[in-house]
Amino acid sequence: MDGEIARISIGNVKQEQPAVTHLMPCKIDHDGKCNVAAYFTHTINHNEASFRGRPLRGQDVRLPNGYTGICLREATPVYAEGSEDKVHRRFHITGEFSQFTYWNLDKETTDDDAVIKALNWVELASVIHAPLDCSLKDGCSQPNTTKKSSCV
Amino acid sequence: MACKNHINTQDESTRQKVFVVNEKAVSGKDGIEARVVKLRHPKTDQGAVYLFSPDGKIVSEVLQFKEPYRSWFIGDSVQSDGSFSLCTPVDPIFLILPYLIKSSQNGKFQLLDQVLMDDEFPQCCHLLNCSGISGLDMITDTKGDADLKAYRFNQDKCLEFLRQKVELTASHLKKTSVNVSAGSQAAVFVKTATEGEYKKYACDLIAAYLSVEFAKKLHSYLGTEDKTDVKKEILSSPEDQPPTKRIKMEKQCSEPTEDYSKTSGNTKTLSVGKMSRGQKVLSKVDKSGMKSLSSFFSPKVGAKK
Repeated sequence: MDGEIARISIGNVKQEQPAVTHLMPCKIDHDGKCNVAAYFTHTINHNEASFRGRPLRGQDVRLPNGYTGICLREATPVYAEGSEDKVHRRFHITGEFSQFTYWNLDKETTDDDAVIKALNWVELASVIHAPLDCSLKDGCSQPNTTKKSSCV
Repeated sequence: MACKNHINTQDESTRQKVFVVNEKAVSGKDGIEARVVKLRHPKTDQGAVYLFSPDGKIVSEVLQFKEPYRSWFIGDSVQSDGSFSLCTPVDPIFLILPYLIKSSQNGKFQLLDQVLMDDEFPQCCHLLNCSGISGLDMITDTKGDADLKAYRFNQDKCLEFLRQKVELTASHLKKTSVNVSAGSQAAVFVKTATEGEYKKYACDLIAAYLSVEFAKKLHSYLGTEDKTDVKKEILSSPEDQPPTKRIKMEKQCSEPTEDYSKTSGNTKTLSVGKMSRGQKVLSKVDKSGMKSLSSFFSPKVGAKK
């Protein structure tokens, strides 16, 4: 192997509405189309909703500044030019979102939730990995979130 | 590339992956590609997943967020895999550092494309195109002009470079914690945290991108070693314990890690006389094939290396 795992094709997103995205607190053993609007979305009332009779508490999460959420779907394998045997996995972007709602099962959302902590890592990482001369001018980070991250 | 992406959405898997990425890392014209590759992680020395932006200027680490019971609703579809991959740009210096240290062992100035050679992770040569590469001047001595520049790792410069990173990170930790608005734990964190604690924490964060050996050097350079470790060293006499972990690592795994025979003289006769009732019972049991309890707590050298 040449150390390359996959390629992500950029730009061929069909410019639709940003995808409405929910991170559910359960494992749903299915991939594919389903009528989310009829069976879930209409139960949402502010930060509360119900799914299969279970009470959910949710919170909208805006992705950190400069970040975007992308949904990727694997394309059928395409043979790389030149060599017949080398196949790169290819993904194309099927949707984009800038915020999503995450739901807890009958539990208030807090800043200590793993999702929030994970996203807080983004800002910390930007400080750790800023090129030194740039960060000395202090133009690289916008301190607006809190706490240390759980990802490290 | 002239490859035609004949995408047939009906036939292929309906599975999707969710990535949260820096926009710059996936921006560009239609048809170009960001590349997901395996590179050597500077701390673990093992392969880890990274993302090169289409123009090759930004390298991001790909971290997986995964909770056991999570699924996505995306638009009008359901995704059973409720994880997402978080891609945050990394300073390429961290990824190049292990190669520089390795190549500096002969004390020669070398060109970067000679330094960045790795049979196991050949993609590392693309780190050369990253925009942060000019920062290498801060951790190396250089020779030659921009066209043909040779580098030699300079440990003192590198430690100073890392010190600045630690300071910046520490001041960021402090700044953001002051702005804490909610959460009792966070409030406690602000009250108890001292300058030293911020520094120590920042140093640990930076050390996550350094080899264990070099992280130790950084800790001692900054004076942020674990105080508990220092205490232990004071308490135990040097003969009881091997002086460093490295020596432990080099020993064979079958050997006991601590040698009590030297300190307690005639161990055999002593231990026979002092056996408790439980030990006596145990000595009658057939222990062949059983491991001693201490073996479970000794470092597994074979497995790691």
